[in-house]
Amino acid sequence: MPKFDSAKITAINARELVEELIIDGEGILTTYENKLSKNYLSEFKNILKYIEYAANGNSLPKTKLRKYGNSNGTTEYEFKSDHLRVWAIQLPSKKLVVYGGYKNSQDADERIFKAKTKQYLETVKEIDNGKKRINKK
Amino acid sequence: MERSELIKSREYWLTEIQLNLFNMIEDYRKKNSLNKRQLADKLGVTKGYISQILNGDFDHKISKLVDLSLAFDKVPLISYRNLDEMEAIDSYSQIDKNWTITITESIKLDLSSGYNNDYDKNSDSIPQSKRLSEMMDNINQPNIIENRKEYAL
Repeated sequence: MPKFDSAKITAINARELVEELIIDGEGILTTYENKLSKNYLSEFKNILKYIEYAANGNSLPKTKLRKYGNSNGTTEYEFKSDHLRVWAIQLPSKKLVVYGGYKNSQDADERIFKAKTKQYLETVKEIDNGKKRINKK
Repeated sequence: MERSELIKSREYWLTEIQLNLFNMIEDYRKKNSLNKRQLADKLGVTKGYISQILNGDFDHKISKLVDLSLAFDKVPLISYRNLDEMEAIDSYSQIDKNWTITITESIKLDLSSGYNNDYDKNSDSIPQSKRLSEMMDNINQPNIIENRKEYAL
């Protein structure tokens, strides 16, 4: 079972807190950025700006942000540039970046995002249930 | 990526302008219940041109930006700020989000380190609201802001 955590994305300064998911000590967005080819660095900056803009409560064009189904019980976001895709979910007090991928592998990346989201939310739920059981005792 | 690298980038500011333009036009379009075709007709431009703007991809001449703004009964105000100053404001706004924590820390310091020494020995008679109000004033002093930074970051 992977160990989940989250940390603030320091490059983003918005009204709403924006964090990246950390799996087994590895930040999703940090790792994604480090693995990006230099050609995509410019687009990556655009994506960060889109996330910040949305986290300030502003609207974005559909070509930049896709807000879709809550199959995992939470609103899911896909931030888009020409070649990059970054997925995030809405939590009660923050946006959490869960996965980063590419347009040319969008379907597979989206499946990974959904799986990670499901696993993360189930883990959080298990922890919450555990706390409730302890409190009852 | 560091925050400073992002706000010094061309992408950050270009995107800001593009998204603000998108929002200005999209608000107008919705308020007036216009579709893209009607909007294009009103402006005397092609539908493709409107789509480009509403996709957040506007990167035309400054004269076009002015024309568009005026067509929507707006004036485009462009101002310039020193990058250093912008970074300072930006980091200050990050600190500001930790306002509650900062004040809590200040109160802790106040209660534990003899803040009342500035008052007479009957300082218990000083209303809490007055002490808080003075602390809030002090927060605006540069040395206190430094302290806030320490707590907030």
